[in-house]
Amino acid sequence: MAKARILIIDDETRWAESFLDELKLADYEYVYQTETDEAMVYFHENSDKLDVLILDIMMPPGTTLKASTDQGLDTGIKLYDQIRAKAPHLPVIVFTNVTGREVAQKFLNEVDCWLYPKSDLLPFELVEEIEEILKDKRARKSDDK
Amino acid sequence: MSVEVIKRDSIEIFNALSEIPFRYPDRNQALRRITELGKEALGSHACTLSFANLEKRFITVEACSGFDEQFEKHISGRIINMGSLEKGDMVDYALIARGELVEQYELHYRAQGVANPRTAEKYGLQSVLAHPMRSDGSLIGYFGHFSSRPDRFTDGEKRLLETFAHHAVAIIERFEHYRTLHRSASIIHQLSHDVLSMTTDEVLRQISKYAGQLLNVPICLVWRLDEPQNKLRIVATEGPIDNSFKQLELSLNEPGIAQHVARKRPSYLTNVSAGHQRYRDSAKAAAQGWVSLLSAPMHVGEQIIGMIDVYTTRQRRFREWERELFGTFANQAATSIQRAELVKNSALLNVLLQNRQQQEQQVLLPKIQEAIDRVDTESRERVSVESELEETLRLIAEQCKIHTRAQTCFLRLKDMATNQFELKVCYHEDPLVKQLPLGHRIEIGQGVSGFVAKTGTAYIYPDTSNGEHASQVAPELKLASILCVPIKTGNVVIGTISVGSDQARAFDQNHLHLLESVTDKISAVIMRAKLVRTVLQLAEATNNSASLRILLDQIASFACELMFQPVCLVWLLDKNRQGFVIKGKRIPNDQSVDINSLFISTAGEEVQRFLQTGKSLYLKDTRKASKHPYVEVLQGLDWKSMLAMPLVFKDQVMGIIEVYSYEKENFTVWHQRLFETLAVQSSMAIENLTSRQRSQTLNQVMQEMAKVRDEKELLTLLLVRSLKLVGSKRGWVSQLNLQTGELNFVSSEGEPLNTRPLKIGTGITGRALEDGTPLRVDDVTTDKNYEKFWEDTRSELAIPILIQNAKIMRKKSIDFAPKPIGVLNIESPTLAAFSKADEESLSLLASYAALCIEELESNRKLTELTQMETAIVGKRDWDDIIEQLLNGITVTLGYEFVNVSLVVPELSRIKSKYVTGIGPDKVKEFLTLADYSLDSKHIQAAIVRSKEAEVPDEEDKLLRKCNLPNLIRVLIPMTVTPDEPVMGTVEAGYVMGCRKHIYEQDVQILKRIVDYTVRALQQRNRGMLKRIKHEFGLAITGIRSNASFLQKRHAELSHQLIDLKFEDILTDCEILKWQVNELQHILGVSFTTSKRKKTTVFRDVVIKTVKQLRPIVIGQGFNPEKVEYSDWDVHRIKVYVDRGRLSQVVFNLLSNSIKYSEKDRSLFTIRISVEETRDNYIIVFKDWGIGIKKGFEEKIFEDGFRAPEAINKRVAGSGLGLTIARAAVREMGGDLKLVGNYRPTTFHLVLPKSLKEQPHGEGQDTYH
Repeated sequence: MAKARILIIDDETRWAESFLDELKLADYEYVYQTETDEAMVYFHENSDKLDVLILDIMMPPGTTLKASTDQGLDTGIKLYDQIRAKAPHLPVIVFTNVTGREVAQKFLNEVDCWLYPKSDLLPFELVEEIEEILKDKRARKSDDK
Repeated sequence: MSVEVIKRDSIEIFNALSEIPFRYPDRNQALRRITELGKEALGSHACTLSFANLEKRFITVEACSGFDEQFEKHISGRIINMGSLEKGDMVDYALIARGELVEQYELHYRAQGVANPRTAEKYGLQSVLAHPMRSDGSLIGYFGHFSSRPDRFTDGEKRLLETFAHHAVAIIERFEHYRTLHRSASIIHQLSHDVLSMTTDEVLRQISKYAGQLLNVPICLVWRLDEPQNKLRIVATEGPIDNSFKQLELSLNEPGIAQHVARKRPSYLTNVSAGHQRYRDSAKAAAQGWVSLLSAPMHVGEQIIGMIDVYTTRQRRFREWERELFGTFANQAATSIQRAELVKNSALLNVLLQNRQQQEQQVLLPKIQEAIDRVDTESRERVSVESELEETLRLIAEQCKIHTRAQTCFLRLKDMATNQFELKVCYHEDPLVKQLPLGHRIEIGQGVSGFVAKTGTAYIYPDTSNGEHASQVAPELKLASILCVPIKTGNVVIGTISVGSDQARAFDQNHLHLLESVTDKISAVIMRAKLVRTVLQLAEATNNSASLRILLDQIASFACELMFQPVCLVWLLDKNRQGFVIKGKRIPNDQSVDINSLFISTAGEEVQRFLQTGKSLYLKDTRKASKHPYVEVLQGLDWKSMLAMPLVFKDQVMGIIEVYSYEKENFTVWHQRLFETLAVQSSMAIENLTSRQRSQTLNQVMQEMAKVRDEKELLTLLLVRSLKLVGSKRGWVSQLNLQTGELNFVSSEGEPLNTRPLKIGTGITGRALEDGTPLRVDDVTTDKNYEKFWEDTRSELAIPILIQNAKIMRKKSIDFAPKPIGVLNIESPTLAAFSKADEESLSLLASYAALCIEELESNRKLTELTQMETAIVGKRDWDDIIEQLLNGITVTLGYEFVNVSLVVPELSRIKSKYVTGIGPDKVKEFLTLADYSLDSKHIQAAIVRSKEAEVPDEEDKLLRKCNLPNLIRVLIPMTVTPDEPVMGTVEAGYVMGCRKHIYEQDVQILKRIVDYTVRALQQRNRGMLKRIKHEFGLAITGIRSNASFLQKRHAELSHQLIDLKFEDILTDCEILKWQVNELQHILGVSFTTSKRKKTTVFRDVVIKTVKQLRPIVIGQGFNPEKVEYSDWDVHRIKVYVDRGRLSQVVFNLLSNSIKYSEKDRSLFTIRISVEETRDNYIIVFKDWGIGIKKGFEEKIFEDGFRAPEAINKRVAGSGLGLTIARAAVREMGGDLKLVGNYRPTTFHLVLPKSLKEQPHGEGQDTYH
């Protein structure tokens, strides 16, 4: 049985490949979505089955999000907000290539949210991060009980 | 002090007392000596001598001897009121009136007898003993003895004081006697002397005057015996005497009188009102307030000739010696009268009289001058000219009265408005005598003054009790005779001066001549005052007049009043008619003259001469003046003589002022001077008003100008308003073309002969601009430079429109210099039509217009600049941006030469990259030679180092070489902030012609353009760099994660997967390589290229790149098989190319196709084929992606262009790809073209077949 179930939303497929391969080898089950619209459909249908969500904040807006933006920053932020509304406690790892202070601040203030510059993490480091997040989550769950 | 001691010393003291009348001529000294001796005799602390006036109840301390000077000063001359001790008054009247001894103690707190207790205390006065002094039984005063001791006074002291007081009175009386004697001697001597130079009447008046002085009595009557009738009549009086009393007669037949006269010695009555058998008129005398009488008959030998009476207004007992003295005087007077009568008709008298008249004149005239001067020197404190004049006239009247021996003198002045004579001054020696009120008016012909005013000749009215004017002399004035003399200016009577006497026949021809001799002086005083008043009125009128016309009418009125004339005309110059028209006037209502049609042409020689003299023109008889410009009009009028004067201000004739008189030959030289003064003042007033109005107008015009937004409209407005301002109807305005140096016609008023442009420096206009100063030509026919714009123009005013102090740049600092803009030309058919004031006003307007134009120009430039900025924003290409910059600098800012040099940091040099404004044959040379080390002294290098704009003053040798000597230029560093490195320099300039400077404002605008350009370039680079950084980031992240994954997991992985990972890494490396190309492009760094190699292009470049892109195709979820090509094409193209660079072109084209693929993955197809023309191989790239919108076909090749789709699809990229790709292909001699927009999007990569040949040597190693 897989260690956990992860949803990855990122349109940069070539970058994602090594990470996906690493997750697979580390026994994680993942779903990889490259389109905003499809990703959200999947999320809404399966949110309760997810343990971790990985989101690139720079995404093409798709048709459901009417944000017209040069940078695509709004897309990620809006996606995040929708995700949070549906799953308030789902751990979300946010990847970004931009280091805008305001954007960073938004995610740094969030609970159950981890922000990483895309170039900082190597595939195995991502796996380590996920393991730590899950361990933490489990610890909290047992505390709640 | 013992009585014995007093007795021993007293003899000496009393001796000393008796010497006083002979040793002390001065009364005060005499009285003081008495107190001094009293103090000594009585051993007093202080002694005082006081005289009492019981009627008015006061005591005067006439003398004092005390223990110190301060006390004496304090007490002497003090007046102490008498009252009741009980009521707290210092001196008890009841006590004094009774003439009792005063004995008082404890003065320091009761303070009787002295001013107040403090004084007593201060000076140590403890007690006082005062003894009354009586003369002929009447109390005259007190002798006071003050003690510093509190003890009561002894009887001995009281007796000694009594003795001393008696002695003191005797000494005082003796002193008075002696003095009166002395006085009478001098009076009698004077009287005998007077007789030689006086008429009998004067002698009589003199006698009455002396008689009063002799005994200090106020009233004196001199009676003369009328022998045939044996009656005494009053012939002279002194003091206020009722006229009715003067009519009294005494008959020698009356027993009392006869008895009195026969006694030959004076008689007296102590109280006339008490009634006396010898005194008949006691009731009348009492009614006059007279009390005591002393009367002496006048005898010459045995012959009685008259009688002298003196009256007191207080009871007085004339002493024996006074009576004797008076008798002597009466006899001396009798002798004088007789002698006067004897010489009356002799020839000697006339000589003497003349002599005396001269003497009088010699005395009176300086006196009058003194009066005038006195008022002059004091006049600063006076409030008005009127009061100053009245004060002068009052002083003159006083002198005239004195010297004509009159009782009164009065002066009337003519009021021009009513023609009445108004009483200005009335001087009477006795203020109690009733006078006419000041301001009292009479008509011409009314009364004595009116009569004199009418006839214009002096008149003596010897006896007011009869004659034609008898009823017109106010009886209350008590004037028995009057002398009235007219005061004239020219022939016009402007006033009268009269002297009056209560004696009949008091005046004769001598008095008349005397008065006449001073009337000129009086007239001058009046006229001078009038002139001053007129000047003040003019000033006031100038400030208050709402319009010039009102002022001119006022000037006419003032002139009439000043000159005492009925008519005044004020003419003003009409610049469009070459002559003068009447603009202000004063003409009596009863005269109907049509003056509107009158015109004085400036053309006439006579008029010209008159205008040039600057002096008044006097026509004695206008109707005979044939050359008078409107003599025919004058024929019908009684304007008989005329004064005319040009109105000139600062050498500029503005008009003419004329006054007319109804009399012929009515003006004197003095009048002319007066009128000239008035004209000068009027000119100033007119100028003041016009300049005030002018400045208001100027202000309005400037406000109007400030609102205009168009240069031509502004210049036209300047012209129109200027013409109105100077009253002309023709003119034109021109604007300087800085490039050609020509003055281009902008607009005109009136119809000029031509509108051709003028060269700067030619014509009056061109010269004005070249010199930068206005040119006013009074007569253009005498000016060689005049260029004819109107056939009959005579005078011209050319005003340069320039900014006097425009900011310019000299080296690195700001300086000032004129900036020419154009010229305003005003012309007129009249000679010398324009004044200095016109010139100044228009210069002001023109310079304001210049400022407005500069502002408009600056606004225009800024607007164009903004448009240019917008254009720059749209430009992605470096060249395009620079092209916009060059265009802006030349077209908008009007520079003729521009050179943009860029810094090459890796070489530490600055090189010219773009240049305009030099001959095409020189461009290449310039670009090659304009290459300087940043460490050199060249200005370009200096600008990069200093980062400051500069206008160099030295010539650039290279520019001279390029046929651009004499170029003035500015260099601007290409940097926005001082912290940033300088990108390069912009050098802009023009040939020094009309523009001799670089204007600071233009430098500011230039800086702004350069800044904007620099910012645009930086912005563009920043945007691209940001995108390149993103691409870099992705590639590096990919390489890193793949490398890390391989390192960690390679043991667990299949060979196939490992291959894939390496493939990915290599693709990312290819991407990085491409990005480096882009960076090089942005930085302007040269590309390193390898040698061209013979290449089978499709196999070695296209297929190889397709393989490299495989991971991307797969990564995007596309089928790599859908990148299609035909094997047949693989070997078709074999050419010499730079394989590396061509690979990058293909890489770019294919990666675009992948990036811009449709979302529907099934549509993904890329088809690559080869076509061939005669000269070229064409590699055709087709894809079924989102395509390129119409209108963007060429834009996609522009530097930094990113299609909206790219932005929406969030496709990364700098926007440089196709730019670089096309440049690379073109460099090889081929081309890259878009031939289809959509489905398929088709690019043609064209390679010329010439590349099949091996190239000779290397190609260019750089491109831009």
